[in-house]
Amino acid sequence: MSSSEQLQSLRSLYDLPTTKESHPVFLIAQPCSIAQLPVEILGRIFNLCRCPDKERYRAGDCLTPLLAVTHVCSHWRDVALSSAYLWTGISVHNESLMEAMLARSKELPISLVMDNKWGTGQVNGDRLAVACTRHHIIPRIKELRYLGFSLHPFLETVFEKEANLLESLTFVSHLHYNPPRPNDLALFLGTAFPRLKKLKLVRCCVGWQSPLLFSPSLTELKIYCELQTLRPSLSQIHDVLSSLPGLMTLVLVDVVRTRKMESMQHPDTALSPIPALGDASKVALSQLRSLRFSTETPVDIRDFLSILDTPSDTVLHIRFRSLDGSLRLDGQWDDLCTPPEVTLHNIVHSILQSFAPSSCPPVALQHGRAVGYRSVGILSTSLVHDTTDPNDFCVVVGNHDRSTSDEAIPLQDAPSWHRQTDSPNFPPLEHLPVWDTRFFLGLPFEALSHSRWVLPVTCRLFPLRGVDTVFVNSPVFSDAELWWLTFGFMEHVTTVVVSGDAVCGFAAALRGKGRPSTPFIYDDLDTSHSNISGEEVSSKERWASMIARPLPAFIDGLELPSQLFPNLLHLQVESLSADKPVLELPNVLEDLTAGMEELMMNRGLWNRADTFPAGGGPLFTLNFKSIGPGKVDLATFAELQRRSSLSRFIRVSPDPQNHLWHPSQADEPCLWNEDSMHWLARQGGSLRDDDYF
Amino acid sequence: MPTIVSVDDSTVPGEGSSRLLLLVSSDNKHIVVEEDIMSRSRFISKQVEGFEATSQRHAILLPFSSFVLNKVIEYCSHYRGYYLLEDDPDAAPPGRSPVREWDQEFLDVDRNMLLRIIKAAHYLEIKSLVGSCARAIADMIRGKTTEEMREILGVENDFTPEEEHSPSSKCTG
Repeated sequence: MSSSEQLQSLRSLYDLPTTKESHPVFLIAQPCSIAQLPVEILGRIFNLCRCPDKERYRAGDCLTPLLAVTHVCSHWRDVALSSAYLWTGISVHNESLMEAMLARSKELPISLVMDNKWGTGQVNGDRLAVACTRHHIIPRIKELRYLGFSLHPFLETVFEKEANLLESLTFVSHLHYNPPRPNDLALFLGTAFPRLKKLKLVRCCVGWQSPLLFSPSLTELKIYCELQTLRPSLSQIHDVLSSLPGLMTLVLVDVVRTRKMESMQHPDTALSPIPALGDASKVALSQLRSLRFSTETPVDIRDFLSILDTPSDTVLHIRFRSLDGSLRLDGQWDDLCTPPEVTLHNIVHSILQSFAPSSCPPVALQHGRAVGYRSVGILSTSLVHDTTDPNDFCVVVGNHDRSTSDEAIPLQDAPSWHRQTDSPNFPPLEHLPVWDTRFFLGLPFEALSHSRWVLPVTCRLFPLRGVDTVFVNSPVFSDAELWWLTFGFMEHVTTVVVSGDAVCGFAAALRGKGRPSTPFIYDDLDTSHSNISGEEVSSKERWASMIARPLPAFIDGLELPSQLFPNLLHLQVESLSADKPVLELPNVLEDLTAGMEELMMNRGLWNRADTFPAGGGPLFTLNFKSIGPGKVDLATFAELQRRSSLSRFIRVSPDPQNHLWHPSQADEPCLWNEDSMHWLARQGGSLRDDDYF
Repeated sequence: MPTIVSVDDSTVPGEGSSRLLLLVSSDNKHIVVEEDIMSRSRFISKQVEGFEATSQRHAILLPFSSFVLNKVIEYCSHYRGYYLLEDDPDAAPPGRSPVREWDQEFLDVDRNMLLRIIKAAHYLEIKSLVGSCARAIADMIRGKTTEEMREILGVENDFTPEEEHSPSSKCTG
């Protein structure tokens, strides 16, 4: 049946009006203004105008856009003032404003923010207590956030009345030291909140017998930084958690008493391991979706995890965090615990065995979220960039797709796991459990302080075979051998972003057939870099100190494939500043070209590389960033290209989305879009034909 | 006689697909669309339920132009078969999730069109589209001064000077 026949047939089904006037819904087209929008939509728009993330702002900040809205026109003002839900976020720092908000919010439940962080001057407790009582707001409070140095006594008066609607309670103390102060939660000893679902306490003095903590309705419990003197023991935590069967989110950051603290309080018993709890004594948290836990050593983490029984897909976020900020795993552990029971191997093994099955289930996508395996992060507090210790390195493992989980560890946090690499107690890493999943969207190796072999060890510690994108900018990677040792087994890498001296190492590594038998670095590479302390360090000096440290035997004896990055599709070369003319060094560009030719020949792409069809899909892209004014001289680059026939690999991709950076981020033209080509043409630097140059 | 819009094979589904609806826009254009596509609209769903109750099918007359209707159909076609939280009456109330990437491009239209789309979505009871449009409009005026808001959305200041400078208005909005 043709289209028109189908339509005729369809029309016969309908009782069509003969003229548009016969039906009242026909309207004459007219300009549409926002005043014509239904009131509920306008109110919704106003609501969305407030701060998108209310957690990050005080209620007062959220109010400002609303006040602006009420001044636009009388219609908007009427709509805003009559939409009670817009005014339910009430900040207690101005009584007249509070009264106005209470009136506008009518009888709706309210979110109350008491920001007293600048001292008692901002909140006149007595006056506000009177105001709260006068306006009968306690029964209306659904969410209460209090920020200050310690809880204001007036709260006690306030909560003498029952807050039956209260669902969320947050106390944030701004005290960063530990003066003696009363138990904050003692204020609530006699208070019951039958609907309390969320409790967040930051730097408060938590009384571990407080009924608040035993509210069976709780689904979210977050406690940060309990004072050392008041930290609960594991058995106290056990008791609390046992009464919270519906818990879905649990965050305990520096809260539980550590073995070290136990040893100081009870010197005779501290070293004895935590008695093994049978399954019956474990706390069953069958609803738990997210667990974030931070303490001083992995031993304490293991102790804590041993009391829990959680679903297999709970997202786990672990953090080692020493109180003095300097965690030396070997030294501290050896002082504290008896080897060999507590070794890095045993700890990591036990953590992963408990929380990552030896055969990881395949990743399943459910509503856009990756589910099916745990996210494990191992971190310490010091950032890589804060340290000058060349032996520091970082380990992050887990499913860190930021788009799939709020609890995932942000890569930019650069978490580090400090370790004395020359310790005699370095564990037998080759026997560590293999946890072979796709971990990263990108793997940043940025810290200049990484010593030569730490990264290969790291990559073996948690084999990262699923990595598809590698960013390298450390001058440590001017060594070709290191490229092989670190990335040799990452056969799924399709994208490499490399910059600075590391370009040399990459060129040599790509050119070589198999792993070099010795460390290899170009003779002429001797550029200097500023280290973290701002001192100029010569590459030669750095290199000499690195090769003085031998590789561990199990790394040295690794068997690697004969081709580095066999599936490479995109290469981006960055930071080729005029000060560091690495591409101009003898052999570097030739090796890079030859390496890529070899790569393409091995993959059968060679013939096609010479005959890119106009408008065909990219076979291999090579992007040069940071070429242009202030960077590598264009004429030099053009000459380099001609000399090396590098241009055959460079292609302008029709789809900017396929590239690693966005044009709006580029300070200067890059050789990848039409504008750049025009720019090049203006500079007299037209290199090859129009399709690729 | 009502004008029949030109229909090609891509707009009239073939055999085996869901039942067809005839939508008539305010500019008297007839648009044929699969019932399945428009099921995201509560208004249309209720109409269809009515058809089934009376065993009689009618054209559905809509109070907006074919240009706007086509945009709405484009939206519904894109999300055909997708579950969108905002459309689920049993789900949690819509949060402050950012405008979806596709929606952002889809709603990259002039102010007039954006307002027409949100009105149409409201009429058709497509909550997710109303939400996306509302977020897009809120993004346009968030953080702006009163004067800038007026300019962006073409709103006339109808306050008297007295009202504008009254102390109560200044203090608490």
